[in-house]
Amino acid sequence: MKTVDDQLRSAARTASQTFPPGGSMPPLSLPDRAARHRLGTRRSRGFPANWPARAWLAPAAAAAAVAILVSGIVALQQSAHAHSGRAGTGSSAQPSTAQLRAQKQRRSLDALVVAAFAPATGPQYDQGTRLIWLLHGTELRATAGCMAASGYHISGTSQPFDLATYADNTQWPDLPRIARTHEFVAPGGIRSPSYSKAEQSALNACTSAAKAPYRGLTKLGTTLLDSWWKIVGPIQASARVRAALPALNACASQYGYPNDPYGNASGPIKSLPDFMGWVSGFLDGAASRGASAATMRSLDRHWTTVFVTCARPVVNIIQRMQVAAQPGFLRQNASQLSQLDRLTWRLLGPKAAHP
Amino acid sequence: MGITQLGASGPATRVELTPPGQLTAADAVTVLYRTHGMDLVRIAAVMLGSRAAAEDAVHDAFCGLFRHWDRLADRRNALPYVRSAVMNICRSELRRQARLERRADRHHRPLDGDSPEHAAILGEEHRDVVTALRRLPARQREALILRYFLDLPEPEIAAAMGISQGTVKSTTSRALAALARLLKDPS
Repeated sequence: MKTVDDQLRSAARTASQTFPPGGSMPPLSLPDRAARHRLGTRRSRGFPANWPARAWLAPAAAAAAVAILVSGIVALQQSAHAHSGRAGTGSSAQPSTAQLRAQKQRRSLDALVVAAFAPATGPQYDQGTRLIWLLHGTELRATAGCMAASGYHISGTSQPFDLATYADNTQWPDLPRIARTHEFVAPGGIRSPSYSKAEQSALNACTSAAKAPYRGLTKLGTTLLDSWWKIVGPIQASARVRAALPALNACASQYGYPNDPYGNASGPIKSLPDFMGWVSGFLDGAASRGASAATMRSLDRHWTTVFVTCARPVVNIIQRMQVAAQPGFLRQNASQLSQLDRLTWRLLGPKAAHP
Repeated sequence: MGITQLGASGPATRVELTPPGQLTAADAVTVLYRTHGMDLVRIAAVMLGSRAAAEDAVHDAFCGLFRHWDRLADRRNALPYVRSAVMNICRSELRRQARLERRADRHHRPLDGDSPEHAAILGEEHRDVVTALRRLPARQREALILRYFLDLPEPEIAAAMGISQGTVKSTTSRALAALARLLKDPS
């Protein structure tokens, strides 16, 4: 009798004959160069997650959590800026109400910059998407204005993005949101309307023009995010995190680990992604078997609770370490951060040239 | 449920292409498409169960690569990047199909079940294994498809899936056990 390995290899051999390496492919029709920086809704599906790919993520974090985070991040950032010797306003006079409002708005934007490009917690990660959403909103309005000038109408109102693409990741699980919504991901979908050739051409040109002011921010933000990732990766694989895994295993066993819908897991949970993989097996498995919406809701409610309950200690350790590492990182990258703040303020602040 | 890493570029997998700077973005992407397109269609076809859908997914991934070409820090990473894009597109498509199936169920319409095309994508002799693969959770299915159908080593599977090598090992092992169980008892 053939083993599973044999059967897979045999199927793979047949697949290689059916789809031979280097075999003839349909012609590749690449989009116009002008369309290379299109709006989030119309970007290519499934492109690997990076910050530009989060452009349509709806700001889903709870308002209370956001307020706490924003104030916390502002404190962190102020500390970073102070350390880097960045000058404040320097004025000892009482600021006016308008100045206070502007300062508050600037602090909020500065906090969003940190949450978007160096998030230490799941709620920060969710919150950071608000910056991308704000930027996208202004791009969309600019595009809609440009299209109107060309005689076409497109909505200038942002559409919700499919949260499923990003928000249920294992690196940044937002436990409060998961516990509150009982969903790992939010419902949604990408709307991809079709356009006539002329309208598409106008859209490409308008989108490219609307994107242009934000490219510097995108590039700088991505660089900062990459640097932060080099700190976060080792934290999540550190000895302290590994030391919390026996408790995670014990908790998971109360909910049936190592049983899964297809048999037993092969060994103990070795990482948060392992645990997420086990939990997601129940949901993915049910979905792929065509479970009803009611069943899926019930499964979501059960497994989000399990996930939040069991993952919380590990997530807390990870987040504490990331939160501890964040100020140092912000200090080390104070000049980049300051540049990002300035760019963001220029693009989204009260004096930004909103169309 | 998808798993996404923030800024996931995965371990740097070097693929030697024509030195950057000598070709335009369109030329470089087209060369990559001609060289590796069919490999990616193969895995997308096994995942999606349709050659046409697979070709669409791969085409979209390369268009995405072209649009993001300027943002690639190291263009030698283009292949892992586009591979990861194909996986994401397939994942989204399967999620969309699952949503449609759930909606059909809610409206008391009969479900399609495993489509005949999907089961027959590699011929009748492999129908069971292909059907069983389709019933695995997404991550397990992806791990097996990348390993067996693209013959990728663990570091490259990790890069394509945006997970660690350790997780690739455990996911693959769990997937093989699950597949064996499904093949033994398809019900």
